[in-house]
Amino acid sequence: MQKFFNVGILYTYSCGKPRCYTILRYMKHISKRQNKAIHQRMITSYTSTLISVALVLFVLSLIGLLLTSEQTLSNHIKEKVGFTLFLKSDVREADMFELRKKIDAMDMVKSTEYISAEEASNRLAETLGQNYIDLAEGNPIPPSLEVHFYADYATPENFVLIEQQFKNNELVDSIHYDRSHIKTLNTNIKRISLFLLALSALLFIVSVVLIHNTIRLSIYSKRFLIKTMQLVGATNHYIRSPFLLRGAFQGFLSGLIAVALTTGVLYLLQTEAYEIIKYLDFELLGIVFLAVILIGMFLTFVATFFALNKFLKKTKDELYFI
Amino acid sequence: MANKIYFNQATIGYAAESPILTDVTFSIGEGEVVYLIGKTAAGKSSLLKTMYAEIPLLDGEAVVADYDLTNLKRSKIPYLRRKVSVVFQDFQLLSDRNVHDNLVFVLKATGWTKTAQIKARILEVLTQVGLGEKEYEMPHQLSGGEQQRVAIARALLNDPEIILADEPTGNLDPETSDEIFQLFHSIAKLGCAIFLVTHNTQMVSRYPARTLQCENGTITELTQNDTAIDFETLMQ
Repeated sequence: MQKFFNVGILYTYSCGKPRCYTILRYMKHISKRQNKAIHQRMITSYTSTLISVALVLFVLSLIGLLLTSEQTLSNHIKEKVGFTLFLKSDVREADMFELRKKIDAMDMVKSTEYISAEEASNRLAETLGQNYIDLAEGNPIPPSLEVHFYADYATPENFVLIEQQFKNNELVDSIHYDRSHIKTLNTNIKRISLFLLALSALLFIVSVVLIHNTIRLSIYSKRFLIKTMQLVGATNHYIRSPFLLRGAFQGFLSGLIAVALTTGVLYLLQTEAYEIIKYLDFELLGIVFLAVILIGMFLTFVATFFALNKFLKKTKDELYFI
Repeated sequence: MANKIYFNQATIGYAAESPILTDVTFSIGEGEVVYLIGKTAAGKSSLLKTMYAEIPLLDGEAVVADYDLTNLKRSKIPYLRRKVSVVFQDFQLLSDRNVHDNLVFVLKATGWTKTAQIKARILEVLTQVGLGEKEYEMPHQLSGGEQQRVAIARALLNDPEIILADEPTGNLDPETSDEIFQLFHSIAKLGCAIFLVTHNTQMVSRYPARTLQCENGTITELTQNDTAIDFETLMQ
């Protein structure tokens, strides 16, 4: 672009097209461009902090999802495992209902299901094929009660307790459950839970450090501005307040972005891999989302507070050595 | 004339084993203009920093705007800085806001709440420094001289008892420097003590006033005869 002045008028040639400005207009034009550039720079700095914090919170919300689904899934698996009370063949229906009522009344029992001899036979026939009925010559399976515990009670100890309580019952022929399977299941679920908890704690610490560093860098870039504020007589409290409010709001916005990203991921999973999210508890999901926003606000607030305090205590000379 | 700045046998520095200035004794009264001259790194800015409590007073006595610097609490420093305004060589305006907002910040930070009063005060000080039309310009859109005037306007906002100026014309051309010196002298006539650190010997000669010299780790007062001789020699 060529420029030249002529008696207070500035001509510029841009892309071959001549443009004419008075000097005043040209100065305004330049200052508008500079203002725009400064504004742009401030927005870019704000946005990059916002995005960085949002991404960290997104990781946190995924951890939250993982932990809640793991809990729901392990509960679901534990509650699927039950034990069977095989009843005597000649048991009367009224006695069976009495027994079932007694079992249902127990705190640890989630559900019971009565399977009659015919139904049990039909189910076995479905598994083994029609030949089974021909070979068995009659129905060898007694009626039974399927009992399922609440997840918290589905431990090997409780199974033994129930076994001892009912094995001498006159209506019960035998009790069946897979003891080693229950033990292995409980051990594995405990291991997975511990591993996920440790991983979550680690990722949470990483998130705190990342957010702290992002905010610290953002405040660091304003350290001389903060010093000037002190030199003109502003108290530390007066300087701190707008930074803290802005920090908390930034945390809130980042939290919202993280929630939006997580919702996007869930939507994708719902359409592409429903099996993965079918055990999600949507009430817990709401709590996770709320927690992510609150954690975002809290972490940015605290990080801003500590970063500001650090710079507020320094003399101007010391600010050059940080 | 009441003393606004009073130093007696003062030692200034970050650590007692390596003081920057020792045996500093002088006082400045209300409405007085005092120049501080001296070579680079002689300790002029350090003396100024001590006055606005940025560098500690290691020993001796020092009272600035009725604040005793020997046992000044951290929490009292902002209140000292409301009575003692500082004008820097590099202006130190808040670069992220316009002139108006720079001045609003100072007023609100020092307890002004009424918008009408804030507006009126800003217009008053900007008119005083001849910048009435630049209220909504950003600092970077102003020339060096204009930025320094904004810094002086900022210093005037709370009717300070003392203005400390650290080489306020160091970045300015001779004509603008002359205007700034005139401005300081006119402010002093309103009763504000002005303490000016400067290398601008021409201006010191043109606008004569009491002059202190920073040399050999202490402050000495130049007599009328000293100031009459060539400043360049003293500065070498």
